[in-house]
Amino acid sequence: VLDLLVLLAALTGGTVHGVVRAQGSLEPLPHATVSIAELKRGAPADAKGYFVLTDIPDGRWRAEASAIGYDSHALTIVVAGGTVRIDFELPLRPVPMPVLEVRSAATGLTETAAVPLPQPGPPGVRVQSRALRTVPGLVEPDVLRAIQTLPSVAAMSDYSSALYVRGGGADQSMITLDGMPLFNPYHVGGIFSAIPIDAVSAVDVWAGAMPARAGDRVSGSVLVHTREGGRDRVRSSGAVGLLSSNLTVDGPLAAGSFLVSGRRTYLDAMSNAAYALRLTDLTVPYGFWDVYSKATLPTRGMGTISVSGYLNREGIHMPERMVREMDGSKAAFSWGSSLLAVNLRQPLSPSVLLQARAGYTDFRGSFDAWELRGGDFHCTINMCTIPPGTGNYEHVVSATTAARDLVGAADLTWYRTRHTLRAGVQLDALRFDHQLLHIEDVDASVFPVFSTASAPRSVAVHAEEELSVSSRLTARAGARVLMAGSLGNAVLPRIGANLQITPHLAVNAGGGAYAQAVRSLRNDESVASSFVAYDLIAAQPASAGLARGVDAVAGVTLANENTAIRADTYVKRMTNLVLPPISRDPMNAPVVVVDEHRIGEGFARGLEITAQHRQGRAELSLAYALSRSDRQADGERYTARFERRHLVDASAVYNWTDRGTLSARLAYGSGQPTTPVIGITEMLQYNPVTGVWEAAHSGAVLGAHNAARLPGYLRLDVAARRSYSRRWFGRPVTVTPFAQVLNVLNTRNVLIGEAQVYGSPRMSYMPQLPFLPSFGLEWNH
Amino acid sequence: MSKALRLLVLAVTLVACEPDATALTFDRDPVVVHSVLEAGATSAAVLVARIQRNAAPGDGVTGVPVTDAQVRLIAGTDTVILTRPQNGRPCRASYQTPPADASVGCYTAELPAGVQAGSEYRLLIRLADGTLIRGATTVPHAPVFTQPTAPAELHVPRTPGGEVSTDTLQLAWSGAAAAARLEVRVMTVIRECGVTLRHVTGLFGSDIQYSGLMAIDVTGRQSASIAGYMIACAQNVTFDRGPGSLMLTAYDANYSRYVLNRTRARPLHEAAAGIDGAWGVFGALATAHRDVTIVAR
Repeated sequence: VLDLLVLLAALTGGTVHGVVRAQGSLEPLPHATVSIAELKRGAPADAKGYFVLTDIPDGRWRAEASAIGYDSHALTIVVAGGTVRIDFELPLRPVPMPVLEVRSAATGLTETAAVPLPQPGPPGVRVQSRALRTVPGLVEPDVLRAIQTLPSVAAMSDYSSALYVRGGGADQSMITLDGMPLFNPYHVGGIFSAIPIDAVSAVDVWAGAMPARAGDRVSGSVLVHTREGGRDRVRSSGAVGLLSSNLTVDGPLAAGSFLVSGRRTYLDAMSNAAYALRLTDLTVPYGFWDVYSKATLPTRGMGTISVSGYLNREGIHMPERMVREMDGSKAAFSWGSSLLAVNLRQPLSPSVLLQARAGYTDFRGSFDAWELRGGDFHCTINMCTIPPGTGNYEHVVSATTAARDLVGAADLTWYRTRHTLRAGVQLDALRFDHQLLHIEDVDASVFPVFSTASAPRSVAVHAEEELSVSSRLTARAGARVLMAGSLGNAVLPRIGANLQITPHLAVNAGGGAYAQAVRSLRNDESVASSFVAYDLIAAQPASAGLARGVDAVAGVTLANENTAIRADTYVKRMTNLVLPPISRDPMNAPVVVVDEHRIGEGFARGLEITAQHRQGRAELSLAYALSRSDRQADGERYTARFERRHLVDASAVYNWTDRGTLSARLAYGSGQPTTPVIGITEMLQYNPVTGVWEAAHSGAVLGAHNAARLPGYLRLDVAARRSYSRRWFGRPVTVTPFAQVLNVLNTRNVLIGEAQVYGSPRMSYMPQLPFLPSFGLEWNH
Repeated sequence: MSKALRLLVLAVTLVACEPDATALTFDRDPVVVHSVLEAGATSAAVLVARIQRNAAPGDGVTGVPVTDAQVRLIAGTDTVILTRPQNGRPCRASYQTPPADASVGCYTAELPAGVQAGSEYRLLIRLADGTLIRGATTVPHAPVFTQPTAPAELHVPRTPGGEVSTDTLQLAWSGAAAAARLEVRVMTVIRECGVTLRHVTGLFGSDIQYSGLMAIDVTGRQSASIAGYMIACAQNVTFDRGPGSLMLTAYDANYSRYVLNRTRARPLHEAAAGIDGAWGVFGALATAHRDVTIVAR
């Protein structure tokens, strides 16, 4: 009752709003915090630095803004009813990680680790751009690889950067860029992510108890926020690595800003040139590039409109000479994503923010292969060559894939004293076309010929109320309604609450229901999924309707000045999932599941504990994830192939002088599921002509699907980086060499087991990544 | 060095020394049962063996016949006891490495009413150690050829043809919609000669069936366009023209599951199909025949 009286009493007064920006570049700072200590009032800014404090009593107050990696800044404001606008400009702290910041008593926030996203209920996780770089990446810093280190996220293998969030498949988590779904943001089959790291300001990961505004996936949402670019001067930065080079330029554009960030491999260009000049006998016909660009202009008030575009392309294009020197097999593969987004952020009043977006996103690929036949083969013991002018190309593989989404959305946020109301609508016009028309000499049960097209449309509306019931208790309640035409409609309630028991201890709980209209044709139970992260997204089968999920999450956070501990436990159930047919051996499982599927369920539960501790210049982080992820169909229940039952992830970052960092990450986990070999037999096959049981072959007999475990997993990665400042051409330039070694112990981690039945029966293993050193150089100007 | 660090080093050392391959060991020699009931047949046969690894490495496995089992076949209220025949080999098996004649483990019996299509049969086997093995299958109905309607010729090259032949034989049938697996094969009257078929699929050439028993999998189809691919005879045997028979065989779900992995790139077995308590298969089939004249060209 007292809380309600306080609430009613506070429904008068002035409104303070504004944007928190970085000093100098004036780029908005995602999720800064603005507080008025005398009133014990505070508000988190959103992803674009926008904050609102409503119903501030008349008087002079000291408002302070703070953000991770920046010095706090305080301003005195005078409120006399009406609206006060204040924009903060926070100076960048010169030392990358001088202190462990504690933004609130309940959340220990650091610069080099994932931090909780402030919200009522179980928080999501925010990974700042700087933290993305401290995680040892594969050859170069990588956005998705950094996300994979979160305890909520599993990886199918060292070779895949696809995200498996709390027991869900990769297709059950949505990755968005500038609010638009991003299909297959990968390169080299998924080894690298295709998200330009220099353009990213932060990544939010919702792993459970998602709010009503989270997109329509049943297991998780990964929101990639991009920078706007500086408004004061043109800056450039880039990196040269073993794999690729990238360049980012940003600066003022009219009254706003622009940002362009691009990356390209050069191994293909260099090797092709050397090959053309006959300096080498081999060339690498594979290459990729990606480019992200964005222009942001102010509108009236504090509004902005931004237009962003993203392209990534990769492909295999073999020179004619190479074809004729390699038995006449020619491939022309090309694939990639495109995205165009327009985002409008417009405060309609000091306490009402409109965010609207429209855009187009797609992933397309074409895969053609030919064989040169009838040519004049000249063969040696090692290889055959075919002279130019002989033979004809015959098409042996023809495949295309396309996934498109046309999106329109609008969200309104109404900030009030102790509550925030969010409501919105999103329209998705999806279209998917996938076909494998012709493939020779490949087992059709593994690579089935197929053609499928679908074009689901969906409308989702959501509304959610976030309420500060008291100074200790915050809560939210809302719902999302997904209408997906013939796939059905779903009403999806979402709730959450957070109770601050003491200044250092808080507990939270929440849950929600989710639905999605799409699924991937890719079979996670196939070994191909260990190497290929690309999803072939298609509509859910009409017979299944919408895939559904429901989860419940409870957590506790404990934080003091130097230590933050967070523990979350969750349960999740997913229904109407499209599961592959029974196939106990991932080597034989179909790579894509089109029509021969089963409709089943998924179950996940787990415990995640994250501890962060600062000791002098070092920050230590220890995460433990206990997870169980099952699938069930036709009475068969099995463990999902990506699951590691136990995973310990320990990382340490040490400030090496004031300009460098040394970091290490140790991952130690149980082996992934595998189907046990329970014996070896000789298969007899009945010949109805002769009536004889004839020997077909010897083979391993497999037990229950995924009922055993591969050997355990251990990987230690280390990285070092140090910055040097110079003045070149009268301008300050920072150069940062970096080096990293993946799997420094060269542990022979196991990707998959294969039974060898001849000779002494044994299991042989395909390896995960071996010892892999890399280095590069970053610079910014 | 702290205790925690010592433990960490120990853990790292243990996992880092993981061997490349691990030996597979099995603690028992499984019993394997093979039996299919043919619709219209007047007898049933069940092959019972125990799989053993041969002593010499690399010699694979073989089936050692189980000769002291009690085998019963139950159809409705009728129970038939199958026994090992003293003479002859009514069911035959050919293991690749036969130290013992697996056919000795054959149990057979005459069925007064014959094997009835559409009927369910249950198999009960009790081993000497008391182990009970159960199986069940439903015999499929034989499909009916609807094409060719008249005696037809099947032209077969003496050597494999490189291009898709236009000299095809159109087949059509009915009554096989419920078959879990459907195969077409051809047999000649001269046992020393075998004919390989190809299935002309129309769009992109043909599927040539080399594997297993030279049958074409036409499951789910109601017609097929068949061309002869090759005729191969034993040495000094020639085949120019002679009667033959096209066979269209429908299988039950058990046998279909059993052979499913045969077509996979890396064969692996289902442990059992239609059998509880042992490996192998208890299945059923029904075959339709259509006479053709095979002409070698």
